[in-house]
Amino acid sequence: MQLIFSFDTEEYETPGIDDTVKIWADMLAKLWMPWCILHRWRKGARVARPRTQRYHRRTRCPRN
Amino acid sequence: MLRDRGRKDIIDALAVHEIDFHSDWHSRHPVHAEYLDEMGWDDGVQRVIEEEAQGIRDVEEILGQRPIAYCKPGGSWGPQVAYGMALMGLPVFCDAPFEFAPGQPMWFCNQLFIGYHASFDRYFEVEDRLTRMKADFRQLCDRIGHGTLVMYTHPVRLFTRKFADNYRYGKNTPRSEWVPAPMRSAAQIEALIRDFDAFVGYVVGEGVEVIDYQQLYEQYEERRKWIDQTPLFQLAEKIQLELNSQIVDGTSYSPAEIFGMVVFALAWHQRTGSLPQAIPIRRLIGPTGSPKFDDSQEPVGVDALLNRIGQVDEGLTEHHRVPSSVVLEPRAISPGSFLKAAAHILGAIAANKELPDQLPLDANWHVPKIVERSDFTEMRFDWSIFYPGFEGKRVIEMAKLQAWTAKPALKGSG
Repeated sequence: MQLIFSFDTEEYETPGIDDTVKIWADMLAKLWMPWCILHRWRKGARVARPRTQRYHRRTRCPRN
Repeated sequence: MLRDRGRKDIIDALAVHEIDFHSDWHSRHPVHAEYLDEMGWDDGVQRVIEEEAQGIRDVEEILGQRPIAYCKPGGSWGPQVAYGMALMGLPVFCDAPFEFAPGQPMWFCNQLFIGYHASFDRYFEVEDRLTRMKADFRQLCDRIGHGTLVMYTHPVRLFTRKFADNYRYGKNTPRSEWVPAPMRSAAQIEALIRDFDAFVGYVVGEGVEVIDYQQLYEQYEERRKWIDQTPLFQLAEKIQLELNSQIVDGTSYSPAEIFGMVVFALAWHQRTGSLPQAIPIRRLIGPTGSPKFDDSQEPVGVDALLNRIGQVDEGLTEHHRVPSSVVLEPRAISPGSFLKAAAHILGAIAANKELPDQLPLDANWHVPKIVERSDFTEMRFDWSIFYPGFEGKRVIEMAKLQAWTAKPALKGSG
């Protein structure tokens, strides 16, 4: 089975509402992490979200 | 708005995700279904393009990526929206009003239709949220099987207890009078974030393959432009048994596409005396006007049909759609009856059989079989944003006419 997370953003002028988009974007960024970073996240480590490059979670872990 | 408010941090956070299109104005009246209910096909498609092209451009410019999918706002849509979005380069329609089977997409009006199956929203007020979400997700996995599950939410609802009411029941509240939606408590927000984050982690841990709409489209994209005689003859045989989409050699064809191929082959034969070796797959749409035809079962003359076939073929090339009726003087017959008779003639020519003088017409062959499904027979518009009393009867009628374009999406069929 495949899964797509599909989020409908709408703008309602409610103060502070923009931040909800960022919270979800950061939460779901984990989906595109390489396995090794994802594994560390699942173990409870705080990991940095890839800032510009989108990794698929099945891709090889980049060398540091 | 994000750009205007200087929220580059949010735009950067979105950069790792696929950004699609959710209409330019969402709930502002008249919404798509409301104005399409007053319009025909061509003017409807034109208006969709005029109203939405700038929004698509804005997404591309601000987020740095061109959307591939269109997700309809709430319950508002029309077949002209799907067709217009496909013309503007968005081949996927998400939150579609129907799909072929749960988790199995469908081609409709030349767009890949896939629905929404689950949501975060339904768990906002649920106690023992995470446990319920996991259990429901496992059940959904079993139901979807090898298909694609789409889970949605509205990010705004993480903070708000309900949606704002500024556009409900046909209202166009002026911006200066907008009333913000009521907020959740900080503790509630924190609990939601904690549980949803844990759920995302759970999904990843279950080994479910998470994809986006671009990846979905690549799996189903149809690249085939031509077919040979053998599959054409098979399609002509199958379409005589049922006016519906047909599958040959792992590729599905809509009734409109089959109409185009059968007519092309017969027109070619009329001009040259032989059948074409390669037949183009024209991505035709269905009839766009209310059908007006003689539904008697009086036989039709084969010569009359063949003498008309060249004009029908030219009409398909010019208008890119199945005609509402085909005039065979002194009567007009339905495109379904015409297709069945034409497919029979093609089969006889392919088998070197003598053509009969006349063919019986099937008076029940007006619309593809798929419109008997409940998602067509029970189609309705019941979104709370619509004007009170809005029914969208004309949109529904147009959607049923476009059942000619419906066919299952098959992986790797291109």
